[in-house]
Amino acid sequence: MENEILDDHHTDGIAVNYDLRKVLFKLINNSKFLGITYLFVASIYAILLLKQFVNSDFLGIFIGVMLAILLFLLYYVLFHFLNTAANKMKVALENEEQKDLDTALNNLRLYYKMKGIIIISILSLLVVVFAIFLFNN
Amino acid sequence: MESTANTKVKQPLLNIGQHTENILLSTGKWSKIISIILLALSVIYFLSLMIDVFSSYSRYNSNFYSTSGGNKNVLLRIIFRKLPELITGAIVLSIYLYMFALYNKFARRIKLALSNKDQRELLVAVKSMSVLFLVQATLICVSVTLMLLLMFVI
Repeated sequence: MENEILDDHHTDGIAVNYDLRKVLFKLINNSKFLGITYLFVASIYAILLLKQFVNSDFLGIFIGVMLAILLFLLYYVLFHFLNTAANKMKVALENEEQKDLDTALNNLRLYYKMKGIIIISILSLLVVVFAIFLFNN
Repeated sequence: MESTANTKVKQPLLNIGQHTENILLSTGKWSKIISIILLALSVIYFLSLMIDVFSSYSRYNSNFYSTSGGNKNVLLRIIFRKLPELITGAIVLSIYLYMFALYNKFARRIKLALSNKDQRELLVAVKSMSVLFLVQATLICVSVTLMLLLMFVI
């Protein structure tokens, strides 16, 4: 009866009820886990990339450092969006703050958008490299 | 009258309003784009695997016919010889398809939930997003550990 009343009251949107709240808390944990994984991977890839350029000349080291920073930044942006989304969602659910919930979901949207853009950019770059390779041969 | 007063007190303060709906719809749209890219990648990967097997088959077959008159089990032999590559390919392909399914499920369910104002669909959509994050994190951890093992131990 109580649930019916709660559902009927929100005719303008979907209410964040107990079940959804539980799933959102799981989402918070998994977002944090994925975010930390991105940071970990970013550090490892950056170190491995720097290791490749360590024995080269000044220009080589400069290019290596730049590539490592770029790679780290790409992963860091993904981590940042996920971490902000998780933190804001936690605050929103604990303090019933609608504004924080919107910010959290907006950060999730930005995460998806960034990921899509990164994937499209990498694939385009690969296609260009492949085309150059084909035309040169 | 009393029950109306109770409803106002007990209503959940958070809800998915018009602004939040737009954000979620945009998230669903990007999820759909990523899922389509993943599907295209898995098709390309599958085709490259098949092309690899059949090119070896035709190469081997033409050599074989020129020397000894042919063998019907050549394809089976090539498949057996390329078994490790094919197993790795199948694992990678299934991971791609699983990720595609999760991205697609999220995009589809979120659209349904918001158009029909359906609480259950929203629950399923958020669950699939949660599972997707967990699967991605686990895959990244496993692949990085394997890579480090291959580099420094083996």
